[in-house]
Amino acid sequence: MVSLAELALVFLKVGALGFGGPFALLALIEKEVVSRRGWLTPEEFAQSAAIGSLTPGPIFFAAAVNLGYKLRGLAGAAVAAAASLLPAFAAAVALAAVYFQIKSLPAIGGAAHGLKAAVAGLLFTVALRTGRSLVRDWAGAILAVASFVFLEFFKLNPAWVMIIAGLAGLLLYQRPARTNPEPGANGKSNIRGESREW
Amino acid sequence: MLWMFFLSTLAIGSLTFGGGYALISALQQELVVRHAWLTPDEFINGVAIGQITPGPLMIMVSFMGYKIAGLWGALLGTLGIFLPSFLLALFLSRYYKQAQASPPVRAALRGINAAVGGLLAAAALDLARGSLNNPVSVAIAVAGILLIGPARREPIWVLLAAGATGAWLLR
Repeated sequence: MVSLAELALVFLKVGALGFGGPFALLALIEKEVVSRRGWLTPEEFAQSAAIGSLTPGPIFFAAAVNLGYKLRGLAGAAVAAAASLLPAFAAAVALAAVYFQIKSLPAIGGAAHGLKAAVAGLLFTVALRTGRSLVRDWAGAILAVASFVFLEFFKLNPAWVMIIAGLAGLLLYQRPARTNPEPGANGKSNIRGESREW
Repeated sequence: MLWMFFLSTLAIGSLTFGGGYALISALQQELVVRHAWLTPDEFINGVAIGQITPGPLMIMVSFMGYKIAGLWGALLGTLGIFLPSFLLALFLSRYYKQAQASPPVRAALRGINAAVGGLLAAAALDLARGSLNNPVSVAIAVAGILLIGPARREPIWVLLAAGATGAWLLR
């Protein structure tokens, strides 16, 4: 069982390094919780992301609450929520306190820029690997591409994309499924439950 | 005023789907136009602070709360803005375990899983477009991909090194 201290540590880390917006934070969580520690499967992570997009507020935050809840119940949810916000809160309050003395903070701005660039790289690797294990057939590939297009070019709200994808899944997958176990979609990662059936 | 501020953030926190940018106009309406707790200038500074701190843009509420009512303002504002999301996520998490057993829900989730793949790809592209606007940033991103991907380095060190590089070269 994952200890609350471990959980707090992971989300403090994510909260402190999460530059580059809500999706970057989501990618950092994936890196820590799924591919590095194997606490959850990619499917469980995707479901947390979906829950995140169906709640108000940043997607990563609700996803963190859901992950904490899955791992350690109510206490886990509270710890994940508090730990993921604490670094940003402390930074914002500290900056507020010194703001009037120092009008601009160039070094911090530069560091944030460098971090953002690296997070873009990280996000790329996560999208590639997670995508490979989440997209299991042609219909799934088409759904993934369609959601990309609607989010990227039509700026559709993620909540709508998730709702529509859910309805599409209902239509596509509810028939008596021909099960295709898809061997070795993700050979090099150490994710537990890789061969789990749907 | 502290109480009013808390209620304002609570209301905004329960209505803003889709992350930080949807939040900006709602906050401005409430804090700058309606209650005049912040000047437009202070508000813009708050948004900038939200962008240079780690974590969600929404944390700008901590900064704004501090200006409105000190540390308590920061605490209550942050609590108010995140509480609705916390409660709804908790509710969904709890309900979800039971729902997961039913075949229609599982079918829907299969569709959603595929869409999350698309969402991550869109996020990578968005972030790349916003941040890779100079050679140094591009070099950092490429180095990040190589180190975290094929070289399997620990992301935390890669990110810290990127931050240091940025502070040095991108100021």
